[in-house]
Amino acid sequence: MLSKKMIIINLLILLTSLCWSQSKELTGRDIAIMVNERPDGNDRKNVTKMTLINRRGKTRERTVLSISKDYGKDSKSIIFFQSPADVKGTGFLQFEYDDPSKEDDRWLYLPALKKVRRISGSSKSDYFMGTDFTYDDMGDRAVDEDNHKLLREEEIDSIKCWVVESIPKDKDYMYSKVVKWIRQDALIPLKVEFYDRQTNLLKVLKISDIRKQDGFWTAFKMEMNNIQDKHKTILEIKEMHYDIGLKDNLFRVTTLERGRIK
Amino acid sequence: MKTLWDTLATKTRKHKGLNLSIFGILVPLWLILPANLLGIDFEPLGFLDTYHAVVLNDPHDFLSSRTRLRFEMWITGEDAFLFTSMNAINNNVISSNSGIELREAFIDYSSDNCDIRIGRQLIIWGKADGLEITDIISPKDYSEFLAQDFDDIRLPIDALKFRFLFEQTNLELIWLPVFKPAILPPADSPWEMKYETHDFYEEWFPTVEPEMSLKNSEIAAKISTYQSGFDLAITAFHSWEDIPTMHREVYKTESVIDSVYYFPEHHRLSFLGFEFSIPHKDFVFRVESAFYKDRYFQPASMHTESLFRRNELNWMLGIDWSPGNNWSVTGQLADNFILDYDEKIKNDEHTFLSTLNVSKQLFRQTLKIFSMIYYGINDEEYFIRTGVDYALTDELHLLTGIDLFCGDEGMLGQYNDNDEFWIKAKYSF
Repeated sequence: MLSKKMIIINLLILLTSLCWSQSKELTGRDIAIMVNERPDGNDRKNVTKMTLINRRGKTRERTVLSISKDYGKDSKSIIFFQSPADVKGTGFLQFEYDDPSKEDDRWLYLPALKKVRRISGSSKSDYFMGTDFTYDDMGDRAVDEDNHKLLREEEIDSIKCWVVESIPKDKDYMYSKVVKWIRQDALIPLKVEFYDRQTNLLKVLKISDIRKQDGFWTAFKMEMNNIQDKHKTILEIKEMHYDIGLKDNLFRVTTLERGRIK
Repeated sequence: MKTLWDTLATKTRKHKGLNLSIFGILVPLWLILPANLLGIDFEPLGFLDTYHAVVLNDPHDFLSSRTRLRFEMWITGEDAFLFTSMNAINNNVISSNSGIELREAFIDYSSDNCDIRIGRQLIIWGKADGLEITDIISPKDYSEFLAQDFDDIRLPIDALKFRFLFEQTNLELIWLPVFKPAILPPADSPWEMKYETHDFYEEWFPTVEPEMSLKNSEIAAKISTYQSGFDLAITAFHSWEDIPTMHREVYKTESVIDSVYYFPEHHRLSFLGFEFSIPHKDFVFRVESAFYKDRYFQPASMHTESLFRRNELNWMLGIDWSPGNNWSVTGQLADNFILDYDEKIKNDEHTFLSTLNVSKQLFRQTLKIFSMIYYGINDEEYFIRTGVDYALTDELHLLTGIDLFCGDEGMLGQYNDNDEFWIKAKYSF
């Protein structure tokens, strides 16, 4: 059952989207902000399966359990690896801050070393556990790290999309350009193209199985194709729950050390 | 004649083999109690690994040859879990290390504001990697020196650990009822520590260990906080030296030493410690320090019987650099600083040790190239481990590498003849 608050929020978004879609003044940045602020509850928990497929068709799988909770515009999250066996129990705790002048706090727990260590918040352009997703691809990249331009409106499978081009302000960033086909009703991209520093197409992300879970639009399947490496990663959300009332005291180092979420 | 290593190794070897202490009785719990009676999830884990190393020079003798099955079991309930870990080891070089070994067995209970862990467990303190500044609660297994992984070098101890949990701050209290010494390399093993030889008669008496009593138990406390932008901890430990102090009686005839009798004895050891780490962009800076009270130090001259007692300040500065593109660089500088130094003490006033660890992951993190260097500045000695770790599958890792020792004396230099080539395979399940 949707709460009144949820219904109101969804109606507001729908109305805002409709109004904006009628307006000539809708900009790429407006859309980027709407996508960034798409409602996703106050907290959430999910289990995600990642399938890595190389050019010879050989597959590797990872499963992660993650929880996160919002604190205003800041958020706290924990990720635990459930498989494969050699990394099972490895955990990340992260506090993300909206204030760009404040560095995120990150801790890593490696069960083999039985020790939590603070890690730096950088290297967001490194690939996550051998997948085709960088930490930035998976997380919330700040809207104003890129210049956004609304290119056009287009339909994919009869679904109306905004096509938005985002160019990083940092010229040394790993992508020269990202183009997104953003589904107007759900504010989730259906397709994303990533271009490398030489402006060649590097990766294409296709998102399918978009539906509402607990009243929130959710992408249940993402397929990232690295065109240049001929490598592919499929992310499938196996479990997703919103607003489950996660306790604040879960988001601390002792949870990492325990290797489990109660 | 009984050698030093006969004495010490006998004392320490007894901790190998199937060793069930009062806490060890926790182990059979998961064998006896059906999982469904306890609540809950029943989860077996572990690995099979095999490691073999040969000397680089002729005749290429084996320095290590061991295969191990590690079996771990979690039984998980709502607020508690039971964890056990056992090793079945076949060691062809140090046969005393073969056998079935209970490694960890503990029950962990947690509530919102506190948690308690009782049983055999590893307790790891400190911000340093591979250096002992405050990380001395779990004693070390030096039977193969640094040729073991860091997590294998630590020995689990029987302990009761209680923590008060605040928002991002913990107060940890630990009680260790049973003393456990470090394991030193057995006599005649390739990793036997080399001591200076003398042309007079020497004899070692059995090591005096603290008796098990409430008065002789060890206690520790730590308050640690994890704040936005920094981590900080203050630690205190009232313990015993894991390696015995070598007292001696010297017999002389007209200033010429005839014989020396050694009386190894473990003494009380206490320290106050400090840990700190702070991230900045691609870097994490780490500091760790401990003030040790009244440690024993050997005199430089064999003619002197009485040992020196001095306070010691051990510290470490470390820096981790993550430049991206799957590179990782870690550097550390550590110092053992004897306060109120006397020139007649055998150790230097400062003993500096530096480490450098560089690694790079390639091919979607399936191949890792790494090099780890320990450099003893005082004795100009070093140990370099360089190798590759290839994940043939997620479960099966194949590793190989070369270890080089260099130096004339000192902790690392004594193994100058132990340059080795090694291979390892590890299958996780």
